[in-house]
Amino acid sequence: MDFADIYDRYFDKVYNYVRYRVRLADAADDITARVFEAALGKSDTYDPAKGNEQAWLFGIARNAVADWGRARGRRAEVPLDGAFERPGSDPRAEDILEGREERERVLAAAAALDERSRDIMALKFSSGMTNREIAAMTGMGEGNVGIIIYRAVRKMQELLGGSKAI
Amino acid sequence: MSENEAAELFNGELDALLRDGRPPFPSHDEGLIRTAAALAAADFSGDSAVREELRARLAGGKERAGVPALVVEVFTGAAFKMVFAAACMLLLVTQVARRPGRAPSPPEPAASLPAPAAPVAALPRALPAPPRVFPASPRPVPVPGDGALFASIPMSAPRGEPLGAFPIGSAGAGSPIVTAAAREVKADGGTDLVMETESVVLIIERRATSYEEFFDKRTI
Repeated sequence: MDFADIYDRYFDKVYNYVRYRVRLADAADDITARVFEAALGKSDTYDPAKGNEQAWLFGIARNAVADWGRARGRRAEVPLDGAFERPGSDPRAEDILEGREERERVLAAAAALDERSRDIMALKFSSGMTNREIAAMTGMGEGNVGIIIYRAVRKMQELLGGSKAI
Repeated sequence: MSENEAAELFNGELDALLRDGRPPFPSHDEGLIRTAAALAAADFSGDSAVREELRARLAGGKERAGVPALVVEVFTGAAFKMVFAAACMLLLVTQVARRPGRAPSPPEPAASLPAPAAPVAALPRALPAPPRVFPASPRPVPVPGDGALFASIPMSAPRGEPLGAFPIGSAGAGSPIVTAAAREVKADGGTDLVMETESVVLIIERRATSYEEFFDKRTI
């Protein structure tokens, strides 16, 4: 296993997943570092028969986020302070994502989701896993995963102000 | 259209979006799939402040960890074990084969210190003579018998007081201890056995006891 190659291929995905979950950049850096440190330590025990590298890494990432939440004595998320404000106009979602402020609004909208939905949305949009892979990882049914994603995207669409106008 | 049907349609389009990198049009819900496309395009990794530093640190750690791992791998490999076993066998066979025909040479007589060099000779004559390192008359080294692998090292005779005779004899004065009387006495929780001798009274306590009397039982 070429760890440097894995790092280069998955750093962005893992960071984005963690950032969706915890929102704060500093915390995301800290947790992502722990994920790759743990992955490096466990690289000798990685068994391709049990799943691909991505599923293995995201399994570690999910545990790291849960540990972080437990260590902070709260749910693995940040408060909704300064979450987002509905835009006065009807901006397109693509425009919203331009720039740091827009990314913060996306994270705030994700933070408004319940923890399970945020976990699944983060897995889906950061890793591109299929619903079947997410179901296998989370222990939920594939259909249930699909419903959760559908409802979460619809809710984020409303929160971001892009509902029917996008 | 039910929510399940809408979700199924949406997830099919979402998978196509994530696979192809662009939203499928026409879509059954263009607003929703546009939002999904925007979420899929969101990349926060540029905010990371540790990416390069972490990569360098982990790569360094991997390289450092690689050296001992390589050493361990070499010294625990099957090839190394075979070579080590062969070397041990060769050493053993060599030792056994050469022992019977070669008796060890007798040790050198009492060692004499070399004559001091010129600068040392210039020291005052009052310096004491150096002590002798070896005994004056070393014991001869026995030649091992057939099949013996080791020769004993010459050593001086053991010193010290001779061992006493066994069994140890009487200490002399004094009378042997004689039990003058013995009786049982009812005591709290049992019976005591009282034995009297000429000079002392011994009481042997016999009663029911419990685990806690002997051991300090701590409970969290």
